[in-house]
Amino acid sequence: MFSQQAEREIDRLLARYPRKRSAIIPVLFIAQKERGYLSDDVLEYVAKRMGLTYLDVVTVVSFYTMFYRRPIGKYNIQLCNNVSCMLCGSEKIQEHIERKLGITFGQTTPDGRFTLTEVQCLGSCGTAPVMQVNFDYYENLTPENVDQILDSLP
Amino acid sequence: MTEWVKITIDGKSYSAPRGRYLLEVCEELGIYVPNFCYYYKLPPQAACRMCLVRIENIRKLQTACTVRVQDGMVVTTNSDEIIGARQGMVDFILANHPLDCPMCDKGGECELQYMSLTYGNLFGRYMETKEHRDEYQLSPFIWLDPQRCILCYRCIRVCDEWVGDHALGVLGRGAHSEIIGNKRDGTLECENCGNCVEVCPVGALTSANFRFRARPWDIEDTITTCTYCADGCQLKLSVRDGKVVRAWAKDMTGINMEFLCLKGRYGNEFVNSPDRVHAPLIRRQGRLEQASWDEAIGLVASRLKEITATHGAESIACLGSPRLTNEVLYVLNKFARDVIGTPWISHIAEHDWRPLFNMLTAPLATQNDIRSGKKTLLLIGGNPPEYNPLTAYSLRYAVRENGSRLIIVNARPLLRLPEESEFFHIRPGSEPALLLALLDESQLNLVAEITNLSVERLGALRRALEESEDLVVLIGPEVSGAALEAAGALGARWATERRRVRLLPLMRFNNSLGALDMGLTGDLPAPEDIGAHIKALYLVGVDPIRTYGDRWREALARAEFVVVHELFTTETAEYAHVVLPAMSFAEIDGTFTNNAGQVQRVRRALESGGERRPDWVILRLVAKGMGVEMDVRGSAMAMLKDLAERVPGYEGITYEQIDAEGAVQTHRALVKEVSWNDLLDRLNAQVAALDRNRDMLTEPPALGTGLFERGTLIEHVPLMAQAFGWDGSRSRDDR
Amino acid sequence: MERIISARFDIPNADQLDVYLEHGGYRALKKVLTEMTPEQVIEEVKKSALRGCGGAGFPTGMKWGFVPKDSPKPKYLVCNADESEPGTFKDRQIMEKDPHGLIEGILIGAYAIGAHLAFIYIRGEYWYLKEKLERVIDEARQGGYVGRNILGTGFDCDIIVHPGAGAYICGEETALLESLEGKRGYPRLKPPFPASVGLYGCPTVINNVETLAWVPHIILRGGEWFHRLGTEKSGGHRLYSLSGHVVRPGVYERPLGYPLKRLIYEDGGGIRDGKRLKAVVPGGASSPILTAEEAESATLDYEPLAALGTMMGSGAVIVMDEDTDIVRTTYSFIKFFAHESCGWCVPCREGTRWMVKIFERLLRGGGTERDLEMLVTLSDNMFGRTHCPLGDAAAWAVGPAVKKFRADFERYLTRRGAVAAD
Ligand SMILES: Cc1cc2nc3c(=O)[nH]c(=O)nc-3n(C[C@H](O)[C@H](O)[C@H](O)COP(=O)(O)O)c2cc1C
Ligand code: SF4
Ligand code: FES
Repeated sequence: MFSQQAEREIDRLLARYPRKRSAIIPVLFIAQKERGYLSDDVLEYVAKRMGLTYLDVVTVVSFYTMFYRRPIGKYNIQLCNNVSCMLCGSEKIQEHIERKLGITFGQTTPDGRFTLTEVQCLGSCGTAPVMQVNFDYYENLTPENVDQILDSLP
Repeated sequence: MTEWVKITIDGKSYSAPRGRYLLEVCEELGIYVPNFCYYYKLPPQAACRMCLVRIENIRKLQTACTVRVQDGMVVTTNSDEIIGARQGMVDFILANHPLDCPMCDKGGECELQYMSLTYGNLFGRYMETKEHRDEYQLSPFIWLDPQRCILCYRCIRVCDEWVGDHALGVLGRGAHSEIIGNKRDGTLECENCGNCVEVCPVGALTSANFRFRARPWDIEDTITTCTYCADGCQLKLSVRDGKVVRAWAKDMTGINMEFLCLKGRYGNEFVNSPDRVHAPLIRRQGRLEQASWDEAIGLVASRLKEITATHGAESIACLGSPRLTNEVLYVLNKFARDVIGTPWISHIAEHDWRPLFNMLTAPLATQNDIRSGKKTLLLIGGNPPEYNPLTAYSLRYAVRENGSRLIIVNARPLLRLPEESEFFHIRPGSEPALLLALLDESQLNLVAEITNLSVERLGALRRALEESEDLVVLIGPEVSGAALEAAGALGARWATERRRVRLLPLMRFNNSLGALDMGLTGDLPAPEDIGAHIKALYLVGVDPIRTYGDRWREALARAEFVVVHELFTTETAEYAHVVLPAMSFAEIDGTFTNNAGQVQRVRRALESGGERRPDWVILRLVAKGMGVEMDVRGSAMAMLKDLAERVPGYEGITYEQIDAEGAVQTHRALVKEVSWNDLLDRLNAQVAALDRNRDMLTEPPALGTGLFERGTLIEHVPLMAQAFGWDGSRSRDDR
Repeated sequence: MERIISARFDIPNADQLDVYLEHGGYRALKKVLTEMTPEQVIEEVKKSALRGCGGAGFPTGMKWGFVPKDSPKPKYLVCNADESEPGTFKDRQIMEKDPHGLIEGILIGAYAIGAHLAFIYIRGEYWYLKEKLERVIDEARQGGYVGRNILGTGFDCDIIVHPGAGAYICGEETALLESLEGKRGYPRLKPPFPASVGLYGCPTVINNVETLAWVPHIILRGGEWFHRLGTEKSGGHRLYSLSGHVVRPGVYERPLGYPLKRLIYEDGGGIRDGKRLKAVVPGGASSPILTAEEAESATLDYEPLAALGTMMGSGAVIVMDEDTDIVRTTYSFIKFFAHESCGWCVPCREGTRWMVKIFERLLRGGGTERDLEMLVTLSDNMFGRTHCPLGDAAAWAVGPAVKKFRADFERYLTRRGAVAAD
């Protein structure tokens, strides 16, 4: 179902743990990377691959916020809104992004480029406010550098 | 050995078994600690926090469902603090719960309703908007109202631990958590046993057949024995307005505790079917027409007499059903042998179990024998999750609770048995060889070749038995003939001073063993016999066409006279000259004997409509018509007394005893001396004839094969017909 | 003051094996493997009075000592790198700047408890650190410090870096184990404690990143030395994560018993824009808020903070200036806990949702006196009654805030609201 490299990586993960089931989170990350999100078919396939049931997999997936069950934008802008960021002005950043992209939390731009997501503390409170675009951290945000960051994304 | 310790609860001292959960100890002492997520014999959850108590010297309140009793423990279950904690907890549970008990199906028997009234605040304090969720159907049998769910996880645990189906889970997190089924859209694909509904404390899970049809205060419950498999579960039939509206097992201490399978729970509404035969029918010009009892009995009696006069009594064959009560079977046997005088008295059976009982050298194993204490359980053949669901529940329980060792010998891998079991995969049909290995160590090479197990594996199997101190062997219908005798002889071969051996035949019908015990063990006519030397058939609840196939169609057509006692106009009834309307198990009193030889009560739960009569009354009337006054007393209770005097093993069994003990095991005489040489000769001959080249089967049998199997009774349950897409039962007119 | 655990933070490329070795790296491991028995290691850590830096502050040596020696089962060491407590960002510094220090600590811990496989459970958001740690472990393996026959001593130990996927509760040690077993991250019942029944039912020790990173230093310089650095009951330094309205936020290594005020004013450079202090959350979102007056005399240590009704937690100090609206910060906390509640137990699942709704009404301008009473009642009804400490933390985030900053809350009460809710 996935690229050869991904399948090999899954094999490696399945063999790595004392019990196969432990590999579920890393395997799901691979699946998500391959497909962008975790569709029913992907879950079914992962279940089969791991000797689990669809129910086992879907209940695990739904527990964790980093797994997506629907397609999302090419860039997932994950803005921290927790206390330290809030104290340092994350709400202004939020307003700025919302105005700039015309979407609010939970939405994706019509061109499918950006999704804006509210996230909990990202462990960057000393360099707040902060956002993650996909897996990359952007710290000490200001409206100006947000513009620059978003505009320079390929 | 239980160690007793002293504990103090609410200022009084008690002694309690060390290590038991405090909540259970309190319950046994009559101190009620409210709870939702606790469930007897399911892993503790500590999720509902309703059972909080104060334990001296512990800073936080503790959940009584998880704390184990220790010496000197001082517990408070009733104080302002605890009362406040419970009120707070009820507030939380009710926060998003609909407060519309009069609209809810569970109203009147809801644990949350009770708990709110007893332990909650007088006024709700939640003023926010509730998050509504629509209810929906999880399966043809089960509905879910997610907003009513309080997430006690009982359903998930019962499905995981007892049923082994793993069909339910939790989706989402936090307040968005909800119970879902195992299909992509969240609905259920499972065996639909409904045990999840049974254990649900609120109105979240409901049964399609019962929901919104009755209130607990306008139904009447009768405890009786299930009419499907030979495990013999106890169930409560709820009757409203003369109709069975549900079967359940809650709060019952029958051999099945609180659990039922699909058929036991949802298979009883055939009793209500409008298709039931309600008056005697006589064939006139090829059509069955309604007649009076006098006419019908008169016709049957005179035709039987005529046939006896012309062809002899041996030309009449009587056949009973293994679903009938012991009392009816007992009278039928008497009727055949004494009134008609024929040796052709038998019952339909899926399997001939007689060799086992002829060579029985160990007592039969009850469900309790399987469930209590650590033991070794050897399953040869069979498929308990499909055909003996309670046995499957008990096997899982034994492994889970006691760490018992489950060894499965089968030609196919079986589904839904514990992962921890050890599987010996044998060639199809090679069960007799396996039994040979258990009796005769010198033949392991031969057995290895036939079963496709290695000599080492066979050795390991024998070693497992040698290491066992308490052995239960469960025998499936794949074991027959000499091999079945060999199975019976396992007691003589393996029991020692320190090893107890018990056997459990995985029989098929609710009274399969009763039918053997009541002596319906004469020969069964072959279809060719009919019309040849067998001229008339007297069938009580039997449909040989369905059981044995189309060859019986022609056979029945050749018979001079066919009588059936029936609930429905079966295919066989279409060949009958007279159809007599019988009562169902729900409408009569009596007893069934389960596969462990336990006698349990069948109780009349409702009036039978129409002109139906119990089978034994019909038999007595026919006898009378033939001029014979049968020596049968006028009630099922009195009949049991008579039967208990005459049937070996049933001595002294009475209603009082059954009512007191729930199930009374018959005492079976065991074979003292086994002539091993003869037995081994027969077994070797059977083994020699086995096909050694059959291909191994690697696929497990399909799910639902046994549970979802269509049958005469179950096809008349509308919910079943609908669920499994059986074509609607044919209407009366085209019969 | 000497910097110890953060000493290598400023050394360029200290995350490379050769640089690490140059600066004393893997000497403690060598010492342990060649000169010490596991018992001696545990003894040394006990002497150090090192307490867990993940939040609960449990004495580390004692925890290691609970692992049964005679168990035939494999044993596991799990490093908790889930770092999700709002306000906390210290473990990230260690993994970024001194990853070999952590690896060394893990190996010593594994040796002490007899584990041959260790896991680093790292929050999924730290993906770049996961990849980095994997590279670092590979490097260490090539150098003979990880894997088979470490340093030729016959000791085997491998390390697997395992990602989380967005669930704060998986920082709780038993929920972490469930997650690591590939299940939903529900906290387990305790007892049994992980030291006897942990990962895959085997004896397991779970320690925070910082806790483990301290271990090599303790081994090299002695438990007593470490103990002396701190206070009577708790040894050593801690990494404090300082954030919020301070001039110089960041991670500071300071001793236990360090005055809170000094951290804010000396190290942090005081409140931004010359404003006044209003409140401090001293130990991450799970610790109750302190007023400026309370903060005045507070020292960063377990018992003194407990006496103030709050706790040391993960050492995450969140500073709020005079203009801070405590209703909004409290709302942010409770939203966090509602979002992160696993949903297992009733009071946390329902209580957090309920409180969020009250806050939303308050913020919309529909609040009444009664709502403030209700918030306190709900917090009391949750506290001490949940299955795991997350529920306690949620209760703690709200009750004390309403009591201590009532004026802030009262600003949101309106007559219109009073009518609407009646
Ligand atoms: C809700 C919750 C979240 C937690 N999150 C973390 C965390 O992110 N990192 C951590 O090290 N400990 C966390 N802990 C503490 C752990 O349960 C555990 O006490 C700690 O990992 C033990 O390591 P230590 O003794 O070295 O501190 C959390 C505890 C709770 C109750
Ligand atoms: S307190 Fe909250 S996070 Fe902890 S078990 Fe209960 S619901 Fe889950
Ligand atoms: S509060 Fe935003 S990263 Fe911590």
